[in-house]
Amino acid sequence: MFKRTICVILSVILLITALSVAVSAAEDDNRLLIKVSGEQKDSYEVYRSQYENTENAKAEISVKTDVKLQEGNAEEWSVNIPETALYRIKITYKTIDNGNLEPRLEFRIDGKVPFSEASNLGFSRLWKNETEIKQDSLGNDLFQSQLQLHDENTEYLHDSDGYYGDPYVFCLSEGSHNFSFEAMQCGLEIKEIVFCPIDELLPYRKAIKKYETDGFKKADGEFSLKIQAENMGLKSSAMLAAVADKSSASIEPSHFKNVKLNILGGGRFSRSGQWVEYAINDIPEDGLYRLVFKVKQNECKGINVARTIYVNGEIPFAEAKNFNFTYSSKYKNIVFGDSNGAFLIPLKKGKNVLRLEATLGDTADICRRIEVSLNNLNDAYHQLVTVTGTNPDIYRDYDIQKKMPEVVKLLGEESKVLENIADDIEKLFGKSSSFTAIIRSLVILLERMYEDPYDIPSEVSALSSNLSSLGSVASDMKRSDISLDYMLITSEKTEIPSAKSGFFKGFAFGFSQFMYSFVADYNSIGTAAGADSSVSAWIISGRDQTQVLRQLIDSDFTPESRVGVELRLVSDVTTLLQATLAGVGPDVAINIPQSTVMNFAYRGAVADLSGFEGIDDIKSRFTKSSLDTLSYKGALFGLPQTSSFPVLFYRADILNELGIEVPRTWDDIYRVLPILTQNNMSFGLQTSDITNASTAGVTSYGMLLYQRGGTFYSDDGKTSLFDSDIAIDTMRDWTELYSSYGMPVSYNFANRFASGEMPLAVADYSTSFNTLVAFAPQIENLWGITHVPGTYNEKGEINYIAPVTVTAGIILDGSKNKADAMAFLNWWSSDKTQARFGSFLESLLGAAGRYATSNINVIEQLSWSKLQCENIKLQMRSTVGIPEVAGGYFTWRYLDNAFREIIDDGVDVREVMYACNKAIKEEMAYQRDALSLE
Amino acid sequence: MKMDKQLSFSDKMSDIKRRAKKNKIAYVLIAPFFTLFFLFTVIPVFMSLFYSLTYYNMLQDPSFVGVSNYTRLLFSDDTFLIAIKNTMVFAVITGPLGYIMSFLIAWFINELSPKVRAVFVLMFYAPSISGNAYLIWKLLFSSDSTGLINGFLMNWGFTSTPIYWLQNSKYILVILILVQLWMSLGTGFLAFVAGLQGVDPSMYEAGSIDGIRNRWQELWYITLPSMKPQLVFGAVLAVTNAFGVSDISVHLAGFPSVRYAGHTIVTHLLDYGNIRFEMGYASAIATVLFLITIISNKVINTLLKKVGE
Repeated sequence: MFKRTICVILSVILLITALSVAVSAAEDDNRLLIKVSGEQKDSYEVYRSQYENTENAKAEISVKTDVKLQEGNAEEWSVNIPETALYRIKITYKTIDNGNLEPRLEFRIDGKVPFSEASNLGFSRLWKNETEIKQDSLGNDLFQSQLQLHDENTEYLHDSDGYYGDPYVFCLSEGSHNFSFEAMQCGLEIKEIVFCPIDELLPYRKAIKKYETDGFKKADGEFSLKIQAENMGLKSSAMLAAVADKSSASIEPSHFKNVKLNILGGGRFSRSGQWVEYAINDIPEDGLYRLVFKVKQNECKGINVARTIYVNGEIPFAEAKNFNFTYSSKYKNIVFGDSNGAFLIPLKKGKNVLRLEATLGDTADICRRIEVSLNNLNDAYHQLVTVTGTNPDIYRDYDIQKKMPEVVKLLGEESKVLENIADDIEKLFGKSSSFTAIIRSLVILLERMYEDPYDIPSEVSALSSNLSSLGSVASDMKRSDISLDYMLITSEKTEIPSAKSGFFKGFAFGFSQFMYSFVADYNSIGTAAGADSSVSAWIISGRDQTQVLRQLIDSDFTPESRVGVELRLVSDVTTLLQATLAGVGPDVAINIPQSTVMNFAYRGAVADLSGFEGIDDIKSRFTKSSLDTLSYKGALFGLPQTSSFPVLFYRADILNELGIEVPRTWDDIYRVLPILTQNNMSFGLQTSDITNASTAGVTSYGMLLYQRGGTFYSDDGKTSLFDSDIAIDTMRDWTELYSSYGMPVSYNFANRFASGEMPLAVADYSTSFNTLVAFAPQIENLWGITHVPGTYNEKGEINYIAPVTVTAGIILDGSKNKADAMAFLNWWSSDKTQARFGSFLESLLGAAGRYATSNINVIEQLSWSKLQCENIKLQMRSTVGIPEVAGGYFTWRYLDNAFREIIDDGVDVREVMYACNKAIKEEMAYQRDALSLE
Repeated sequence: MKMDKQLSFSDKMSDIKRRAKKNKIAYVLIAPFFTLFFLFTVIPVFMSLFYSLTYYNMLQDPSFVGVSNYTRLLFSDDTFLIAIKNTMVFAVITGPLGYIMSFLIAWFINELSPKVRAVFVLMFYAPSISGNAYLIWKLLFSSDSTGLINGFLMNWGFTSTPIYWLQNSKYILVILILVQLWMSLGTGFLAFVAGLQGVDPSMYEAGSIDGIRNRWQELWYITLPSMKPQLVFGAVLAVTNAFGVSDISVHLAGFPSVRYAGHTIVTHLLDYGNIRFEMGYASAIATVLFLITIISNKVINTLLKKVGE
């Protein structure tokens, strides 16, 4: 009897469990599934293989076009093709706008894009050094500013990522066709389109004979010509500027004390497709010369870095394509040649041009295969995560084998693909490296997941981290970095000098460098000569930024105004406070946080700028909101320099897969949140965190509050209004996002956004943009920014206001030379200076150095794309400056405390807000009283 | 009577002069230290005492406000009460515990062979010499769901949502105490190790002849009394450290910490000095802290006199 009862109970329990599992499985099936894309069917590789046997074209067809394409415009031409054949297409073009972005075109034949890559064809811009290398007053070389040229340039339609080393080949059938170009990014003026046959390059042994019959003799006798790498001619990118390498005495020129710009490289000459030209003058007679590079390839261990060499616009022979540089930690003289001897290049008497182009060389094919594999696996990962979440319960059976057999199969296939890739890398470069080690460990993981799908949930996080390692392999292998000190053009018999400096010279150099470090004042960034008066300026910033500012002062400000500027780099505002206290402060300080500006202002340490002549013109450069943060009762205490405000970052690819449109209002967000949660993704809205800025919470709360028409303080700034109904309701809604909607309170934005766990997030526009550009190249072009979610007001318009915080330039009240100081601030915040500073910085640091200027006219002169620029300006215009009241530090402190109290303990919102308001109010009253503010 | 006093005074003066002449070299030798000590310790203390009686915002001249800083601090500053409470909890737990732990570990280690001992000493001492080593605790107690402890708890099913360790007022102080204990094997610990080795072994022999029966008696009647200077040194350090805690609070729990849960007297001082520009008030806090430290050092010295009795 007893046994039977137990039996019945057990079977009932079993039945219930089985039922509930079935029900939850049924629920699971309602999820949105992301499709696994697999290899693209319309890639160039597939396209090219279809036309293996088609004939090469016989003659060129050229079409004069002369048309200006603005971004977004398209133009069509009808061309008659005489016979069905293979063609390459080159265009002669001029760039028409400034900026660093690569112009991109979409190419269509009869209204159809022939293969997917043709929808995104990149073309290079033309740059050159604006000036010779100049020195500051301390004898250090200054960075060279870069000048963009809008001259004609001819380029084949090619893959600007470098995965396909040769220009694209198109198969055109006989008859008339319509060809069209559409400008996808930046405008372009197209002068001419040429359809030309594929010309095969001769191998060296044959080419040399041809040159010899053409009258080029091997140069004899002693001849040697040195071309320093820093003396560049035309180049494709502003990044290709000379930099300083102080590591050795052998680098020419070098000095133990002063900074000398002496190499090309140091991480800048590393993107495939970049090229730079050198003028070779004074060649005594037509002939064949030997080429020697003094280079260091110390970035890419385990692979080779390739350069293609053009002589007078042409690749002289097949071997000049993808010439390999192997890894070496020191500068070495490398003769252009192979194990059989040097490859001689044909040079004319007099002037010649040598071009070095970075290519992926042998790694191109491997990089492309890794990229394809990475895309497939990322899709598979996203799909797995929709079922298991990023933190799966390892004791639960998710039934992956049954639910998504195609994913499991894909894991197995990709493990084989990756194993082949690793084998190929080892075959190519003769040894295993960190790259192959990472790939092989992923292979093992994938095999395990494929063979035992029940273990997949416990491996999900390992898969995620392995995929990001694979992503970095892909981007590291694409970096083809070399540092070039000089090149030698010599006759074959001339002896090549040593690349080393010799022991004693090297020792003396290192020793004097060390001794000099005791006396050098690294913070003083020089002072300009040739001025009638001078002001001292302190900047809280990086060294690169300060160097650039120094240069702009010397080239633009001082010559015009006859005012010299003593520039000094200081580490933080404490230094400024102490110096001001001791009476040795500067006249001007720039890049000062708004809270410090106002703290100084309330204590009479900052000059009021509102009385200066022409201040109204200067004010018109900024939004009212950014000026509000620096104003008190009509007085203006600083000029905004950088502005930061939140925007919405979105992952276009993921939103597309989920079928979500980019949210425009908070209502949209509430609609999207459940979908994200179902797919184990989240929406990010910053809260204060010790890893974040302490004011992040105020920005988020302020955004919601101001959108609803609330404010932080009363109009006279005397008291706070956190006990108002609007403030309390906002607080309730804000905290509910975290407590009820499960949004993460603490997260790393860049990580989660890059991995796709957080496809939507409100984050600071400039720092987050810069981080993503530098940190997550693998999702380049997959994400966008737009204005923050808004709230409908009574009129039915969307209000997407958000708080702005600024850093500012100020004039200290103790300054004896306020007129000159103001002239400097005026110049510094002007459109021209800010634009020059921004683009200079970007040429120095790349897109990760994008400058967040407060000057609203300058935004469009920086390298934002048209859409980004519009969105940023839109958001910038609808910002609000939260006034910096005396005692305002209590606001973020107590708001954060209130937030935590509600989230952690679930305390009544109204009660907490009353207490919070009381504390803030009392502190404000106390500070007003202490500072005797009316 | 009067004559007597006069005499004795001039006697005294000439006596001092005579002695000063005799110990000339000693004064010369102490001069560098004394100058530095006077310049950088004595003068600042008096300056701080002076500023504590003023309103001073560092950009404008100080104005004299009498004892109002003290009355505000002691009678109407609620946050200061939190800071005092936290500091006391901190001092009472980490001071003695850390002190006893240091001593016990030093005592155990002392039994080991010199080479092994050196390795252990380095291991225990490492956290306090390596500067900001406590930052690794930030990784452990990260509030992110990918933080080490959160990740562990969530993987093993103890919790389904991340715990905001360093942002939740319930946990902050406990974590800070834990970290402080981990770091407490500092200079005091080294002094104990040295002190234990300085005890004369013949004392133990004499003790066993005189009737010491076990290791505890040996410890109490011989070891501890022979290393009293080190004990005092260690105690002074422990107390000063416990009252001076601020770095780990600022770096782990933020500044100011959520709901002042990790607020100590020193962070309160930093708050007024660095954020609110109120140097006068900050000086008053410093003075109070100074008094508290002096009194507790006195108490501890009195307690230590009882050792071995």
